[in-house]
Amino acid sequence: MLSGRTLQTVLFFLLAVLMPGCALKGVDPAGFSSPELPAARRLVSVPFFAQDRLQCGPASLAAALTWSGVEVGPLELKQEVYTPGRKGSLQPDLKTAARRRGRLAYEISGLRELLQEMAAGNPVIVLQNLGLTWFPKWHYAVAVGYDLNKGQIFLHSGRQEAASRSLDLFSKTWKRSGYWGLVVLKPGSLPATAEQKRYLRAVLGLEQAGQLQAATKGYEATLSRWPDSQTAAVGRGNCLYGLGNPKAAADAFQQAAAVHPRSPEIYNNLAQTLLDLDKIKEALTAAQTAIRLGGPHREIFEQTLQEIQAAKAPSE
Amino acid sequence: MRYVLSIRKPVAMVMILAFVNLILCLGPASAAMIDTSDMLHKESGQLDKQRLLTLLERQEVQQKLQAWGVDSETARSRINGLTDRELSQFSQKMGALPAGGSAVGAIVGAGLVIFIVLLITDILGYTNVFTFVRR
Repeated sequence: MLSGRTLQTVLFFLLAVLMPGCALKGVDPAGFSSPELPAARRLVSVPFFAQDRLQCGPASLAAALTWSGVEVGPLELKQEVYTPGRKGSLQPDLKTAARRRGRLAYEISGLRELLQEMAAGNPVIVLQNLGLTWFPKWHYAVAVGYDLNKGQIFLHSGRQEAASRSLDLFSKTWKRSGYWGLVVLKPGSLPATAEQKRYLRAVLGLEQAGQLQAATKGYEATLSRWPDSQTAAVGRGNCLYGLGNPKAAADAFQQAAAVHPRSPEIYNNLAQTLLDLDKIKEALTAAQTAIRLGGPHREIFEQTLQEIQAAKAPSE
Repeated sequence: MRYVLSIRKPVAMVMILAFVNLILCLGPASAAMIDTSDMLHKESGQLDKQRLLTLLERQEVQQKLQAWGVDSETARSRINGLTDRELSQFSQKMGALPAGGSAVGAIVGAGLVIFIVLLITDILGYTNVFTFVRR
């Protein structure tokens, strides 16, 4: 039996813990049902990898990557993802490991987005704090289905495959990570909750990771959804240029310039690319256009012009 | 010894700056291309990020990862895949960043009171620490 004193201490702690918790609004599953959102969905094609001790990060990422068509197991991911000194895996490391395999790492946040992604068939890696704010137990799981009528979510979690949890309890544990979720996708496809800037950042991550082929596909997907995106137009050209294909890059920049005739950056990159192709005259015109349009990168435009003039000089 | 410790930081700083300087001088040689990241900053109406700052951040994050037991090669490749923005967030939050690993071991060692608190919060449906608590 617990002594009176211990019981008192426990009750005190409980009160301290639960007082703010009571203010939490419970999840109303009915509030989420809408014509676009089916009442229930199970993603049966998401593989399950039982985790070893402290290895929920690699296990969850392996499931998401394998689902996306990159066959990889948790053990292969351990070195890239797991940080021994922290006894766990950090969020940025999950993202970069996905990028290195040519996969887009797209962040989502909040229950509505989570349900939308699952409804579209995309599993979501979620970071939960299964413990308390002041006594955390951080844990990654893969959300692989839900049932709004029963108020349930299904998770590949730890050693449990498609384990059901009440949506209410899940949202409390998920809230403590700021509702952090990650969708891992083939670079040409868009997530259900695609937002232009967020999607562009995910594609930029691929470019940063040196996955230029994948990034090109990502920029192309961006342009097909948001044809006005200057960043995607430049990004596409830059990736083609980086892949050693200045001809395709020049075409890309020319197309971009037709859509954005007032963007000096596009003309600058076009000029540099034309210079690489030895089309000095056209390069010169493009560089002069860039300088005429001006802007914060003027110094770089002038450098481009100088390079073109230097290339031109000997032939004259 | 104390003297050595006290000058360690400034010396490290100088070394980093020298290193960064070297990188900047070696930097992208001829191509005067505007990179996609600059473009995104411009389109979002943000100022260009200072390259120097980013390089320092990369160095800092890499050292921290190494201190946490990640070998230098792996640490570098982890950082290389991050955008400038992600890197800034990473370096600002380093220590506070949650590491998902579900370390139950820590809880067992934390004493009876916390065990009981978590058990009760589990039963009440505020936490989800113990798998034997069925809900």
